[in-house]
Amino acid sequence: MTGISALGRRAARADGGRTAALRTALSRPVDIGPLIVLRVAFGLLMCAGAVRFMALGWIRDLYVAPRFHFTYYGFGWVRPLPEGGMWLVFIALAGLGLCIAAGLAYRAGMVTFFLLFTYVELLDQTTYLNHYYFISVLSLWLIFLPLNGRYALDNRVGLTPTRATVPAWMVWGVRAQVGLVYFFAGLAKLNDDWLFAAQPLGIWLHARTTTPLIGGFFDYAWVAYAMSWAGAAFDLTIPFWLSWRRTKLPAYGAVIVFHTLTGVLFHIGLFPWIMIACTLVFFDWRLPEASAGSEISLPRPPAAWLPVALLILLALQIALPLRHWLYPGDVNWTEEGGRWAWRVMIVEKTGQVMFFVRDKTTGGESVVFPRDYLTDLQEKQMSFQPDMIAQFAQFLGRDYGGDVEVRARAYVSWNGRPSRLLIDPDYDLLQASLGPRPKTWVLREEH
Amino acid sequence: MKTPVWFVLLVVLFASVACGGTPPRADVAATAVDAGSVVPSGFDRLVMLENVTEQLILPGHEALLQALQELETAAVAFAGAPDQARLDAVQDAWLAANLARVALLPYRLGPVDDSLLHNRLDNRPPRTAFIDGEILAGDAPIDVAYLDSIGSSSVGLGAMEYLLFDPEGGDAAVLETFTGAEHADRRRELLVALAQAATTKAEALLRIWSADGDNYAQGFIAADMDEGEYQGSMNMLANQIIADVEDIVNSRLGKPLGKRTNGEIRPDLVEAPYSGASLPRIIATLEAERAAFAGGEGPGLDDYLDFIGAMSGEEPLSQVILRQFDAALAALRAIDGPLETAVQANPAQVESAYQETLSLLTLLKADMVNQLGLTLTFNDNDGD
Repeated sequence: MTGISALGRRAARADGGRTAALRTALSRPVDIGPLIVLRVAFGLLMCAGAVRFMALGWIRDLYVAPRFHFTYYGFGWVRPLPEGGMWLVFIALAGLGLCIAAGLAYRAGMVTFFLLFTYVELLDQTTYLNHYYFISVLSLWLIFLPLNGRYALDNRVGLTPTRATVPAWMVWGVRAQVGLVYFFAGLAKLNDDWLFAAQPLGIWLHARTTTPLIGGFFDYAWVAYAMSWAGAAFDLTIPFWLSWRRTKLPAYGAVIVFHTLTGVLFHIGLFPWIMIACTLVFFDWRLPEASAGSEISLPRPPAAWLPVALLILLALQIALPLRHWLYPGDVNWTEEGGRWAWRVMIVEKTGQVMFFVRDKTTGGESVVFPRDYLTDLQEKQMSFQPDMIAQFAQFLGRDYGGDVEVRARAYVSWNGRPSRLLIDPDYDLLQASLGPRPKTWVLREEH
Repeated sequence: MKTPVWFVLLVVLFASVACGGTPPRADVAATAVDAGSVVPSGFDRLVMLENVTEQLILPGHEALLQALQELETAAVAFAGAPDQARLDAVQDAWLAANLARVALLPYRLGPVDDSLLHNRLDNRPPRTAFIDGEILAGDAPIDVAYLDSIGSSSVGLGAMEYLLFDPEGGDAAVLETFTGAEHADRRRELLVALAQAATTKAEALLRIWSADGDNYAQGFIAADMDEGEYQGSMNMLANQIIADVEDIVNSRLGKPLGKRTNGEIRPDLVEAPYSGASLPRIIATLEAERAAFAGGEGPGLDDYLDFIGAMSGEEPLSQVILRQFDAALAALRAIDGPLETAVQANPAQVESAYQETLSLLTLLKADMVNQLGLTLTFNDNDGD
């Protein structure tokens, strides 16, 4: 493994034996099976996801109906296409899912899928979901791995030679990426609310007492505590149980039970299925030997930069969930550093927000309720996220025009606490920077 | 493992996904009802919904129908022999019908909302130019069928208000338009037809709910989990209460108070500018929202909040919300005179009512929704 060698050379001198052993282990050729299973599962799920999105009418609801979109910092130029164009994007995503599953024009298909999917995700922060982000990250990984090495139409048509093995780091890299999602989701649960107040699960379970068979238990506080602790333990440790040969199978059983339960209890769309599918990569699938006559080529060694690049991507995936420590206050309240961090289902948060547009020349002031501009979903998501509140305030400033200031009265309640002001009601949000620097106008939550 | 194993796993996985979408409505409703009967829960949401339906929704719709029938009777009497006494009677009946109508605002749910019947009963402001220029000055026969064929802003209680009240000329001017003025005969026909059309809408509304009709009452009670959305009916009811309270703040008080117009007071933007009935209508609305929240005399959202232990600091959240309802109602009742006068003569009184109602809105929309755990089910997009 040239890349690994290049990367590890200096360290190897200092700690020769262990590093060399790791290098050897990571370079060892392993069956390509796990990656092939992942490709088929991922492709089919992505196709199903795109079809579901279209069938539920979300193209219109999320990308056509809104007159304003909450863009990401630095990506304000990413705009939705007209309705017909958005339909084409989703039809393409569904088709690309099938191409990926079949291993047809895999590399080009994966690149296009990554670009189109990420484009859609960048259109509006309202639709940010950790599992959508996970799909973008995973598809970026998969661009660079030879998932069309076997059981792919690319092999049949001669686009790519068949290969039986890949270096172990390719499989373990993907496993690490999947494992990080769980681990950081678990880490985020290690807080007072989750562990010692069983919140927000307590709130959510109360709301689901009509769930068949098990719903009757959800009124008991101990059930919320037991599920909270079990959930945290599951998230924190499942990557390790899935990695260890002896516990793999029961661990996967736990994955199925855990995600099926959350899928039944909560309205979380494809997320359970995506994780059930992606954790299949932890199994050491051994594909049958190629039949006599079919050609298995010697794999071409990957480019030297590839493992380095993927290592950087992995490091970024570790850094992003930790970045919230750089911001003052509790991330669950301020939301600073909360995205791209696998903080999955750890707060129940609601808000009521209204805006004041004051004409600095005349002193006249108008009150704006978001409902007059935003869809219900946009308003709900904005009402507790300071950067979205500021972004909408700046839109209002432009919409009103002239010399105005825009302030917000935003009351937010989270995990059952009484609502409090989230941002300084006297601050002119037209002055707010939407960048990554700490937002001084976000009020600290004392509780 | 060999190929068939992972292939089988994948097939099982995707079969599950395929079956895991929104389940058919009938299945869900049946499951919810079945589960509800065996759930050893300390609070039965179905009983709460039953209480709201039987104590508030059904009687409310019957009361609206009765009020509109009385309005129709009064309108027929007035049109037959217009005089001051009969005008007073029809104006009183009109106000009573208004109050009965706004008392049903929290229950514009599901098929009721889809039916647009409320729109045809009371869509404001009325299109006065069309009423004068097309209906009164026209020659189309004025009957219920004709009124059903024109836009909702030219019919209903708003149009009747325009015919029955004149804030400048007073009752004398109104009587004149029904007796000696041009198109007086068509005006009398229109008043009666408007009342008759409104009655048919109230009958249709009652039919949606009643056991003799579409029996949505039963569907509403059963749909504790609806269309894959948990707590379907409770969710809808809570959302409607919030939407109605927000409408009071944002539009019904906010517009005349100048909250939408750079602080410029706009008495012309009150919702019932001809009759002076804006304030009673707003008060009746908030009383109805309070009743919907409290479940009248029986179990309601307040009791459910108590059951799940929802606190606001040291106090039960339900008590804080009920107290805020009362504070907002007291502030509204303390406003002197019609709203259009008060926003000019006593803007501080209206501002106080506005602020109290806003505080109520915050409690409902941020605190109550948080405790009810409605966020994940609030919209039809996925959560995570």
